[in-house]
Amino acid sequence: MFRMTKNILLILTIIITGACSSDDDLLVSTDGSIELKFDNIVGLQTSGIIEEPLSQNYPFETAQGQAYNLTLVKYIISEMILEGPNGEYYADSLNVSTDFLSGYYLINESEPTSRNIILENIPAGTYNKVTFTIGVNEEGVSQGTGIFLDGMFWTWNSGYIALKVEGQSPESNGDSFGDTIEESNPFGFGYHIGGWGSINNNQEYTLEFDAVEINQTQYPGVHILMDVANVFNGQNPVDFSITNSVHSPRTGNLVAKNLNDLFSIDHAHQ
Amino acid sequence: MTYSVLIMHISSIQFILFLGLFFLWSCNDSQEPEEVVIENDFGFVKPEHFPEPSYTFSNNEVTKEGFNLGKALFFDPIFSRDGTVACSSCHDQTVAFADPQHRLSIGIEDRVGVRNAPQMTNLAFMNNFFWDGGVIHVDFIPLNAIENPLEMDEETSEVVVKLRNTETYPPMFAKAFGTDSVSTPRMLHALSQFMVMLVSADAPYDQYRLNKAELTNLQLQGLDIFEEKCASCHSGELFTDQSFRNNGLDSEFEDLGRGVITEDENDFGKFRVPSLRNVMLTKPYMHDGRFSSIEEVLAHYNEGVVFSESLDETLKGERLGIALTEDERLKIAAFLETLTDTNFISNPTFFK
Repeated sequence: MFRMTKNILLILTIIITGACSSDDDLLVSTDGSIELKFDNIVGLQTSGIIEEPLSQNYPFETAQGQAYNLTLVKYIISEMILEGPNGEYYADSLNVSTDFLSGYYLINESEPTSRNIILENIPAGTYNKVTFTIGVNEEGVSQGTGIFLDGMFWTWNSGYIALKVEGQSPESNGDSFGDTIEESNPFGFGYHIGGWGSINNNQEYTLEFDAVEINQTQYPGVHILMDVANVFNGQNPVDFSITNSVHSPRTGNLVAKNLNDLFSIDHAHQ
Repeated sequence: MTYSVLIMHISSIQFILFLGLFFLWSCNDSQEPEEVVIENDFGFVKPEHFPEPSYTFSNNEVTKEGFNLGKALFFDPIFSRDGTVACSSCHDQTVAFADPQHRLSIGIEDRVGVRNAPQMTNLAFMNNFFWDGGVIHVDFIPLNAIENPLEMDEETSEVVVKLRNTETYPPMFAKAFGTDSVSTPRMLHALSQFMVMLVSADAPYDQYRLNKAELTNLQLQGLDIFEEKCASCHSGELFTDQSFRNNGLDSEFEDLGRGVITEDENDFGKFRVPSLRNVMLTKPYMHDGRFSSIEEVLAHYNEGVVFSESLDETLKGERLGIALTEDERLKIAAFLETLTDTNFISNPTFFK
């Protein structure tokens, strides 16, 4: 009974709110949508980058010449902003409550649908720039629960893990751990990059793409590449025989410095 | 009255009614909406002499149904992997939700933890939790205890599955959240609703503070000494400045404390300054429960402080620690007695 009353009241409220709208608001909206597709790749290999745990097939090689495979690639994207050449601007709203979440996206290479983010209610116009953050900044952490806790969270040092990359390398000395890597796995590695406080490993990216039109009839897409190879190459090259288990903000900071060029635009289409 | 304060004072159904009325009024621009006063029968109320709460009530309004669900969860050992340890196992209302009997917390299979279980009062006002401050939101507190191998040693997602498979919980979730679907956020929000309601603000000290009662001369002298020698860290109505400090327990650290979280050498050996509310009930003291009485604690500050690099500046100097005569120590202890909130520890609202 309580629920029914509550729902009726909610509906009433919505009706009343709607009834209050001025005539201008009732005009047909000119907002549109856009799809952002995250393609997780390793160098030239653009699909099928995930192997089963314990697989001894090592299709990839780091810049240091160490062979490896991947068993998990998972990350959080937040704080999305779209911009255009004529001052067009859209900032994805960030909301966290018990049953309503917006503005935070979990991308898991093993779950194909998670790789597509659809942004809606974007003011019509031309857009050629996207900005986003990998991880969850203080604003999100301080809102409490509600953002997916799907393993992307440190309970002992509360905060979200921005990026998890797990896999195996014959060079690894084992004794690492993660969602797909057991400590007993002799070749495992696990890099969990997080930290939003005094050590902040979240990074903001701004990428430009060929201008697309967003409006009621046109629904463009932007394909973004995330090259996992960057995690191991870069200013602090990862040596699997030395560093194969990263699970805290400070140890993750060295790896995070490799992530400056993690994302790039593949193409945008109308 | 701000929007968020309003939310705390009225139950959800009343709030929706109010919203409806508010929007109705807002149709007519020429009239200012009048304030609607609705009797509050349940919800979070800030004590008048307390600071503003830090808890995000706008994401999780306290309702009687949510609170009751949180309370049921708090007493249920379903959270632990083998069903033997509940939140209440280490947090007992009779001692302000501290652990009445163990120096270090005891988890499943009698596993001995590394720290003393702290009291759980006035959490709605705190900015960080646990001895190392690794948790910064009430919602995240339970996760630490659930997943710590020395405590409940369980996966949070597993707890959700177990709750789903009970007969009792889905209907309680329905009452609290309008859906019987058990989820991690709903579970944590229910527990938070219970935890933030644990407000201890009715001790003799509070009654004195609000001019409702007198303290004895001895207690008042103790208060003066406390303010002079202790209140720089145990400050304000919460009796903690919520900072992390090394109070000279050891010259070498078995437990890095805050350093575990920040991974910064300057924080090694620092721990959260605990609230002193109900302190006479919450023995043993310090992060590892090494002192079994307030007398030992005061003696430590007077004569036991040892040097290390991160020792708090207030305890350094020619003479380490805080000089306290025997008379001063007696008077401080007399004052600390006034922080014991018997109304809180016997409040049936929190009974199982």
